[in-house]
Amino acid sequence: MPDAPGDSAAAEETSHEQRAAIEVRALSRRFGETLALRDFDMTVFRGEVHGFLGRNGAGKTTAIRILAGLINADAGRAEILGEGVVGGSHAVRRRVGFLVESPAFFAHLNGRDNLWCHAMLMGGIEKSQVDASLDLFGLSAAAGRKVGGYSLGMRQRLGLAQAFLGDPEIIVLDEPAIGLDPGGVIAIREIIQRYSAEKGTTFLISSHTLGEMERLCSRVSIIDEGALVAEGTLGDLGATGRITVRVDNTPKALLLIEEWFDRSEPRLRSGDRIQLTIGEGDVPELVRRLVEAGLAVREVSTGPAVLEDLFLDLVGSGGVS
Amino acid sequence: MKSRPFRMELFKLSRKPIALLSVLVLLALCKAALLAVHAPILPDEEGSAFAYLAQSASMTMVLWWFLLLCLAAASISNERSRGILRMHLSRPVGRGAFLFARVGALLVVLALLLAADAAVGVLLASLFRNFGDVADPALQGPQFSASAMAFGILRCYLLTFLGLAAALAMGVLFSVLTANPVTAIAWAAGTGLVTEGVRRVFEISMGAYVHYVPTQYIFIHFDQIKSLSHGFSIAVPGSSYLLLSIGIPLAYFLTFILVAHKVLQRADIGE
Repeated sequence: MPDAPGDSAAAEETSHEQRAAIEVRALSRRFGETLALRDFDMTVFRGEVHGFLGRNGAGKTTAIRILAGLINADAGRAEILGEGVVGGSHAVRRRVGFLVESPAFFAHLNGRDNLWCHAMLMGGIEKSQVDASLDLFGLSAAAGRKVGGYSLGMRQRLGLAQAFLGDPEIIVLDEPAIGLDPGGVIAIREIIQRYSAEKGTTFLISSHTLGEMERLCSRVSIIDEGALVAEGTLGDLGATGRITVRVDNTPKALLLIEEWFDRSEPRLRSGDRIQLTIGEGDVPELVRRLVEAGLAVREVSTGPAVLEDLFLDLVGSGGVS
Repeated sequence: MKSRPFRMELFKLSRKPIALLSVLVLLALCKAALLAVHAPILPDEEGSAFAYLAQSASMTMVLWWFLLLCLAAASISNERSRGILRMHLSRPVGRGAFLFARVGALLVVLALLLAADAAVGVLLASLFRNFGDVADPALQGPQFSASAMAFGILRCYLLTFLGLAAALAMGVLFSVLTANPVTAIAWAAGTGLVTEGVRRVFEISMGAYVHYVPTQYIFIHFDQIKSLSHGFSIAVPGSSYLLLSIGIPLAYFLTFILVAHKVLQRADIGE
């Protein structure tokens, strides 16, 4: 006998709850006159690498600080692994590693002792795990040096090492690549990918490095002015199919495309790239018309929107040209 | 069983041997300098080392009052301003547990400081005078044995511990009221100066350390002191005096800590 519709909906909801590692609903927080979060929703599923994107001041760090229990929300609900973190127990944070904003440590202690302080606060962490975490981020050689003498990149790696300490089920990273050299960025990416694939660790990563997020994340949430503006896989969010054209005279091409194709919404992207939305069947016609108009067509490509385009479409550049 | 945050606090303390040693050296220098100034007015007779010890303690306690007030004021605000508090509180640690662990660590520092103060005081006093039995010249009473004198000194140190613990708790309250350590220290230093000034002008007793001051040896005669000033004079029997000496600083200590706890629970960390 098939399930009743109500049963099916309930089962789906249960499945959703079971799958959600982090769930935020209608979260609001005001700082004086500024509404930092306004009915903000976000769902991070277990095992995924979730990108958290937004302009400066969009509310990303406020949301993460609420999840970390550092500030309270004015309204709404935030849960980690099914446990409320707004005015709730802090015990669930034993299963979560946080790197909130730039890392800070005792300058008079060495790297190992600083991590040992975190291990003591967590409880149940062995010294061998501290060493393993230092080793993971290439800090074994510097573990005995005082943190006051660390470079910015080394401090960042130590911050990451403390977030990964004890192999938590969820790791929340706020701008993890700040201060890292290109080699460090690649190493972090590989560590995150390995933890996600081998240990099933859930990641919530806030970053402005959109190219890096595109490589890493299976789903993203985009926040603007404290509210969620988009959430889903990159495929879902860019599923309309974009055509990118490179021509020698972009202003003229923009005008012509707008004239020829309704609702194509042509936009000028970096350099001489024009991005538009038309059916793939219209591409030969587009190329023919551009050539007939005397424009040199250098490249035509199709595919989903890159994250940068999607981000700019949804939240703009924030007044920065 | 020690709590996880308190274990961390003790671990941090253990990693500051040079700072602790510096305080000890400073302590010895202060005591030696102060005693050098005051030595001529102290009696040179059998058992007068106790007078030396009491005098040196009464002089350095004012320094500890300021030092602990400022140290406590900087303790949390400094970590908060540098982001360390944010990192630690994102761990599975309640803010209350964190605060109590920090206060516990400061009390350990206070206990070490007073123990060091007593040790240095005994050392210096024994260099200039002897610790024999004494006849109390102020009260013209019977002879007091050296052990009774030592017990009196110990009792004064314990009461002083409570008085300074209250100062320390006030510093902790300042420390959670602001994320700026300079502001917290300024509040603490300002409060310390004002209270010390008021105490001196109105002869108000704020903590046990002032019991050293009135006359030499008086610290062993709590039972004979009939009044206690805490902004006003109260006629109390001897046993009540001891009770108040414990109760009043304890009440201050608990009040400051409870208010600090409330403030920290509601504070935004990492703003």
